Amino acid sequence: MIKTRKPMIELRRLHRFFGKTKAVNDISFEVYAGQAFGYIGPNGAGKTTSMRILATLDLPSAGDALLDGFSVINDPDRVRKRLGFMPDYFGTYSNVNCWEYLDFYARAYGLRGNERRKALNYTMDFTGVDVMKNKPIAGLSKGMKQRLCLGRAMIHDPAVLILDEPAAGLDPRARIELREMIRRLAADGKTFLISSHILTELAEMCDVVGIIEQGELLASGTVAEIQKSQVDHSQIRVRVLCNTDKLMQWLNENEKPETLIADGELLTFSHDGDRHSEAALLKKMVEAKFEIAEFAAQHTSLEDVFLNVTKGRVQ
Amino acid sequence: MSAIDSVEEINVSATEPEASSSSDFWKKTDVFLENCSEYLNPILVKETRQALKSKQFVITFSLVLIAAWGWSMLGIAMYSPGIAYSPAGASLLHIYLDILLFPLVLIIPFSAFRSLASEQEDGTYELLSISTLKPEQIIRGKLGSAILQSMVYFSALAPCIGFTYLLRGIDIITISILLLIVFLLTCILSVTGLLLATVTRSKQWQSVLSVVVVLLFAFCYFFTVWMSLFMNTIDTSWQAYDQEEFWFILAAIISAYVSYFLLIFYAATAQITFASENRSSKLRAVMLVQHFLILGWMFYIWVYSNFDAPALMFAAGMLTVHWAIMGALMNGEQSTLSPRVRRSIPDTLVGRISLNWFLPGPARGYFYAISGIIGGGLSVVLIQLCAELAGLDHWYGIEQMFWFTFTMSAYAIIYLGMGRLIMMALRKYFFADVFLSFLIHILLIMIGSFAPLILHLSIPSISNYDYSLIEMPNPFWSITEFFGRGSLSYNYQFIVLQFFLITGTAFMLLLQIVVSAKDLVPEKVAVPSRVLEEDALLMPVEEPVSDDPWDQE
Repeated sequence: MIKTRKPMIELRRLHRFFGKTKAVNDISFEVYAGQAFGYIGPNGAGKTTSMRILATLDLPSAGDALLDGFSVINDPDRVRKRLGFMPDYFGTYSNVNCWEYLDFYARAYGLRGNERRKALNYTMDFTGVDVMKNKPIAGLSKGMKQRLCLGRAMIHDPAVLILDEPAAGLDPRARIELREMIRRLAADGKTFLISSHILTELAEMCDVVGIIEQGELLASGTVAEIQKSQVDHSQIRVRVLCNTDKLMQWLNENEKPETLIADGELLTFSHDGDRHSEAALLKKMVEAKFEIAEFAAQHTSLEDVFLNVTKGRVQ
Repeated sequence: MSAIDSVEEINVSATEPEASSSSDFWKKTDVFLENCSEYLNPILVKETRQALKSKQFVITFSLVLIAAWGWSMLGIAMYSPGIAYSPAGASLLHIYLDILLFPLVLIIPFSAFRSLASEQEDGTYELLSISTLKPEQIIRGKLGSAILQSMVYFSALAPCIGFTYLLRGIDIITISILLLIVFLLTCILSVTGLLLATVTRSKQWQSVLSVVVVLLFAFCYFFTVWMSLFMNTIDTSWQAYDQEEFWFILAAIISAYVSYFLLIFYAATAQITFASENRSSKLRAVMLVQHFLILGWMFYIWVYSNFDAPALMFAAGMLTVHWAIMGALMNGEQSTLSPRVRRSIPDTLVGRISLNWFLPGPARGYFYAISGIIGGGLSVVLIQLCAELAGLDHWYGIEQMFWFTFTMSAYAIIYLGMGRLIMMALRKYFFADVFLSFLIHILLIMIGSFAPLILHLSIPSISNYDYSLIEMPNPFWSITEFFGRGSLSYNYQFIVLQFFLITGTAFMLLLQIVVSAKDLVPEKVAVPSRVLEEDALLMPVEEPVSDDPWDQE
């Protein structure tokens, strides 16, 4: 959902070295207002490091990162006003209940009086924490703690939200609920930078993704763009009721697929083209009087792209 | 905040007091306190909520109450039946103070230390640091919580302390001064605890540090209890509140206390401040205030003691030690001056000359420290010169004063310079901070003092305990040898020492100027357009309205 062409997040040749380890090595990308950017990479790829730099928790070794045009190095105070960060840990206090916890962060972000009360009510209502506002944090489930942490990140109504592995360790229901909350916030115009290992979720939530490994950005763009740039063709599976050999011959003459495998009445072959060309192919087969019982195109998933792009290297 | 604005104020209406209800008063009080809390430090609000619910507070508070009650019963029984006539007030008060010292000197400062250390261990500090709270607010909030807890303990024991005043043997001034001392001790120990919590973020080192801090505060506790018991054994008629010296010493102690409190406070703040911010200027300002405090008080002592006390030499010595310690710490600052700090460099030449010293960085830190040492030395020499010209009695001559201040300054300039060069070399290989810098300077002075001594003792021909020129790197022995005996003798050893000190100082200053020339005069950086744009949006410049009636339509 691109609303304006103003980059809310901008990484400019970002580097971060820890001794000889290049945790982040020359990464540049832009995320525009209202976009959700999915950050994909294996463990130790540099996702958290670059997110921490953006969250003004760390300084880059070289390069800069900008949030709404403000440098995270030189104007961290202005960046912090616009930023909500949800790290991959909870960061909760003992002897504090949910309301007190959010109230503290509302005060810490400078909200006073009615503004603070409104923000608290809205956040607790939005995240569903209101039902357990007087419950001590220590007694909350992981899913509820994650909701509370999302509430903490959004209490001051930031324009940008950076979420590091928000769905890690959550059960399917909690994951779906969290995804729903993120969707609603994105629809409200918030800009997101989300890292996750659950790639199918990222594909559903994010407009743009970036694949990172060993501190380097290997690919970035919309999911469709990346799929198109990384994979040559999709696989089509056809079940034909008779004349399997004839269909094989017909495919070899008309389609010339790179691979063609027959397994009884099931044929699997490679196909270059989009959904329209797949529909056209099915139409041609039917017109050629083949009795097609099943026709399925297997498109490359984000997981396949990820495996294709990354090499599983660890620093 | 459209989404938030649309939410109805559910809780606001709930907090409104119901008419003619019996709990009206408490509801109103609750609303009033809630409104008051808007103006309080958020950390203070959070810490107080946490502290009052914690088991540690409940246990300590109960123990203090039980101990105070127990001592009241025991004390009354001990001094009865003549309690109304015997001077039992002082004895009772000292034990009440000992009871109070346990939470105030041990528990509260350690809780302050743990409160910041555990934030760093649990990762909550990171979340706090990215809020809009300033580091100073965080330290102030944590300190405020410690002070609030101490007030709770003071209030708990107030009836007991009030009771001692009703007895004989103690007066209100003594009670007030003792309570003030205990309160000030709690404050400085708590802020020290906060500073120590920022020393390391590694969990392993935090555990080691926790043990060290507990031992430190436990030592302080036992020492203060011992002091209290010792004072109780002294005849209580010692108090001389009508004597000038008492108030003079009290004022000197309080001024020193305030300056060191601020120094520790700003040091703790600097430790948790984002790396690109200016973490040094306030500390340097406090160092300068301390410089003038030392000079001022010592000058007062010199005048007060009829100009014949060695107060001026003591002042020069204190100033050199003060700036040497501060210089050792400033040498550990990061050398890069961030563009954010460069924005604040004054535009005018006069502004730069007077304020560049306060900018962070080891180069400016080194020259700031040696300027303090030289400035202090010159002040002392100038005062001595004026006294000599005025024909006032004095202990030392101007010549002796000059060589004394020069010798100390020269040692400080050389050792600080060497420390700075070592830090520059180390920084090429790893991150080196102020604490490492301080340790390196300590090591350097120890090597400079002990290595010649070992060499001296291992050479059979000169192995005796007389001063020899091998001991030149040892500032302590050299200064004691030439200036500790009252009169100065220009023997060959003194001349050789001064020759080496003059050459060494000149060489070190030249070397430091060469390696620091670029850093000494940093360039100003323009404020980014995005920042100006936002500032203009937040604080729009109003168009001037003309008063001229001809301009108005």
